[in-house]
Amino acid sequence: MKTRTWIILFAALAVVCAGLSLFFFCAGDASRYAEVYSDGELALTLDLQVDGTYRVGTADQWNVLTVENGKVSVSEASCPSQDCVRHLPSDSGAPIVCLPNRMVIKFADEAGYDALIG
Amino acid sequence: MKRFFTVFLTAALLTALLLTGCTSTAPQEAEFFAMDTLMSVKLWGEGASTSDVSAEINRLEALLSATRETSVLSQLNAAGSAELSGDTASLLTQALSLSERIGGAFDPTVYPLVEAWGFPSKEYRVPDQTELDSLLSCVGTAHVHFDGSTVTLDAGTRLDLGGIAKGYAAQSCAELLKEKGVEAAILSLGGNVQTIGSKPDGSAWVVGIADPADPSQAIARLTFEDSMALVTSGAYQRYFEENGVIYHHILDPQTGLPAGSGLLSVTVLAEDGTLADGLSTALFVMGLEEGTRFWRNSNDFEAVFLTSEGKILATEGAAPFLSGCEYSVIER
Repeated sequence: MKTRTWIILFAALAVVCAGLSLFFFCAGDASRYAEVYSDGELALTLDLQVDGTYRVGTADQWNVLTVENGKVSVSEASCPSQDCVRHLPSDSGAPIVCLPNRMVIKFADEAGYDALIG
Repeated sequence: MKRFFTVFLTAALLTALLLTGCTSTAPQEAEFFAMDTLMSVKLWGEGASTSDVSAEINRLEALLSATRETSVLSQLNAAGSAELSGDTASLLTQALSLSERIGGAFDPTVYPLVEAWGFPSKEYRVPDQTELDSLLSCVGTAHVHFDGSTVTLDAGTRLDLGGIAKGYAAQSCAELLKEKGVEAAILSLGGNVQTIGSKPDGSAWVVGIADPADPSQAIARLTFEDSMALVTSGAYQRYFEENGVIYHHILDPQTGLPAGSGLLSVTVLAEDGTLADGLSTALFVMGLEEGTRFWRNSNDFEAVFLTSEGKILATEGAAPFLSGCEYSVIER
């Protein structure tokens, strides 16, 4: 191929790369968000940069989530064990789980692990 | 114009190749609740789906749960006798064999004690010594009479296979997925992780060991490239506090009390998921010294110990996989 052809080819690839970069840039910083699932359904997406209190679940089985200083915690829950309430405020890593209420808070940033055991 | 098409087609082909590469390694993923924990599955390849895994785990839970009234195990505990077959017979055989090998640090008859502490119902309480002594008289595999199909329990004795059920489920799912031709998979069943094959993108499996002080974060990581079962037992996983004292869920079958062996957690690495599950509990009860002695006399597992003083110790077979922390090596 001639030099001009190569230039056009690289220009085309550069446009594709720039488009992909723009796409991922616009997608935002996923690690600042947490997704809250209630019984397997996405109930809330939390912006961890915005402090607030949120209630998820039903009238009988509920959790109150608090976002503060970039981290989320379960501040109150209807479950008997209160395991979820004892969980430290978090912004990454393993999900916060309330088994009795089937509530899961998942983080985008899993620190590059395929799994966390413990 | 012809030149333009040549360039356009080349760019399009390159992009298509890139995208094809992305989709071919995209795994199937699913999360679901079973066996009183959150489970997650990620698998690569055709021939099986994540619903095959959840169906297999639900099938086993229906047989093996100690809290479901309709399970084979609950019916055995209620009646004191039952005919067992298939998975139930296989798991009881393995539980009794493991208990005999370990010498009591793992015991499938601790269920009356676990119930007395309120762990299954989550209505926690501290039983007094009189109650514990009474229940301890029914604990021990000598109270289980099993000929391979018929099992009879002495009065007051009840079985709980929960100490190895998740490991057995992981092992069973791994075999199912291999039979169905799955290329690679990782199952995370509570504190149990089972990998199958190697990751299609050529990278290693990376599994974090939870930090007992903040279990959502890792204190160390294990990096390896093939099939492996990894199970962690830790005092922080389930506990309650009463009058300023913390009581955790791993009971010493000899005393009926939460094991106080000076460990925060034990992670076991083995080929067999059932073995890894039972051993993680047993080594936690044994403690570092006795657990190390037991490891030196065995050749089918490796372990990582986290002590109450904050030290991390890895057996020499586990050490090559461990990183991200300072640790000492236990030599054989």
